[in-house]
Amino acid sequence: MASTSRAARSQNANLTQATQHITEVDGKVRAILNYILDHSAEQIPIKEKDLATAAGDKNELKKRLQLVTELLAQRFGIIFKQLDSATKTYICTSEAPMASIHELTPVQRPQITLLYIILMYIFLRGNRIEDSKLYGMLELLNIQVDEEHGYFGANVRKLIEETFVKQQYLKRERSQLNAYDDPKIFFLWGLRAKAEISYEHIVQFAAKLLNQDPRNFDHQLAMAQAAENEEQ
Amino acid sequence: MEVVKRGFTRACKNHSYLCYETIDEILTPLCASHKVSKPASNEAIKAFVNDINDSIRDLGQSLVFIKYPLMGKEYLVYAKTDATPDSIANTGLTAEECQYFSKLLDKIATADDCRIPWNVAYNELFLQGLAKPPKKSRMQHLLQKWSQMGYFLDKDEYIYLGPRSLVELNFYLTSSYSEHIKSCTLCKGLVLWDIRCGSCQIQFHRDCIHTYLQKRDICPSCGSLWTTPLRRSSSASS
Repeated sequence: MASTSRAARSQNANLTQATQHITEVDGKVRAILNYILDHSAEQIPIKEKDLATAAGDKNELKKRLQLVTELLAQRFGIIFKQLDSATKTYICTSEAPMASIHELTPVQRPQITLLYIILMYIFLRGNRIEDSKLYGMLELLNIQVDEEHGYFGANVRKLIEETFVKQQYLKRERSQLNAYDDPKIFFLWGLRAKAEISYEHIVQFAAKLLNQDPRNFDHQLAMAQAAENEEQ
Repeated sequence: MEVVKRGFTRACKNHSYLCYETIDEILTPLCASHKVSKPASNEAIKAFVNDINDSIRDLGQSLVFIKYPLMGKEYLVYAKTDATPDSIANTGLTAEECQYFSKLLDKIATADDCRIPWNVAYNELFLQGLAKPPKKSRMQHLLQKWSQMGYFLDKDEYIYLGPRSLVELNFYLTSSYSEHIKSCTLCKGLVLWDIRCGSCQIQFHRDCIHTYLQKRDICPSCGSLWTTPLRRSSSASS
């Protein structure tokens, strides 16, 4: 428990003036929370300055961020964390992967199916794949990224290169071996994919899609998990 | 169980409105993966949802069951507790697009039987007076998005108010459009497209009047003998 002697309290008050955390739900807490919940559907990172506007100003936001984060986790299972301290953006991810595709609306399902195919391919190829190779694989499945697809929609390339990247499902890396080579683009699993979709899930998906025993992917699974542990 | 409740809450928020079949499709694998037993009956589901409500109500969110006569179904709606047309669905929309939402609502609320033909919804007359009105294709896209969210319903060439509007905008609709949109005198909830008294034409919820008529055989509003049959499937204006 915090020290309660008068001297200690006034000293604490002076030191922690800027970060006196609010512990009760007030109108501003609700406003911040509602802003986050309203914007979490699009799955695009939320800017700190927009949160500050919802709270009134930056200080009011700072005092409440801890409580808001706790409430989102305790009541909704939404993990709210800073994506990047440089750009001051936050994202919401789920505490657990989806138990089934039914948690998505019929409109969202084609997108997630495409995403699973891409994540599966990246996973099978050691968690990093050049864009041209990815698009080549999709062509084998009759998905031309620059043409309208009957199931996956009009702008598949945009979906992959912009939407999935913005939503943090995919990570895009530029790599240039040396000054004389053209830069290459690689795709990896993004932060959100790692948080919301388990490798085991992808293995099950791959096993079904490719009609193989899930144990055939033990090698890739071990590799992915090792890379994960290294990062952490 | 808490993880299951939270997972279910997130799924409800995603769907905006769900029928019992969808609820079951979500709960079955969700409960199985966390090794808890699924709420077995509709009553158990309602109790389960009530528990969730207790934890999200003070944050301005709620899960509400509503009977929707147009589709003959009961839906579970994810609704914010203090929404207004301005605060709804306005993530990333321009002021003109928000106005389109309000105008659509207005047009439908004041129309006969609370519905407008679908082509009226895209009529440019709608947006008279706006400095930068959205294009027709954008209007179509928005209406489709709002329908997916449950604010409107596109059925048989007409646009109706959707289940989510009836829950979230209950107060707004009954107070701003009191001439057109009434509350059922028996339960005080908003009532649309439901059973009318043959004499005075006042509307009641099918279930409310059914319960009432088990004790008396007159209209609660005008007192005349109740003559309208309570058949299973009713048309919009019986």
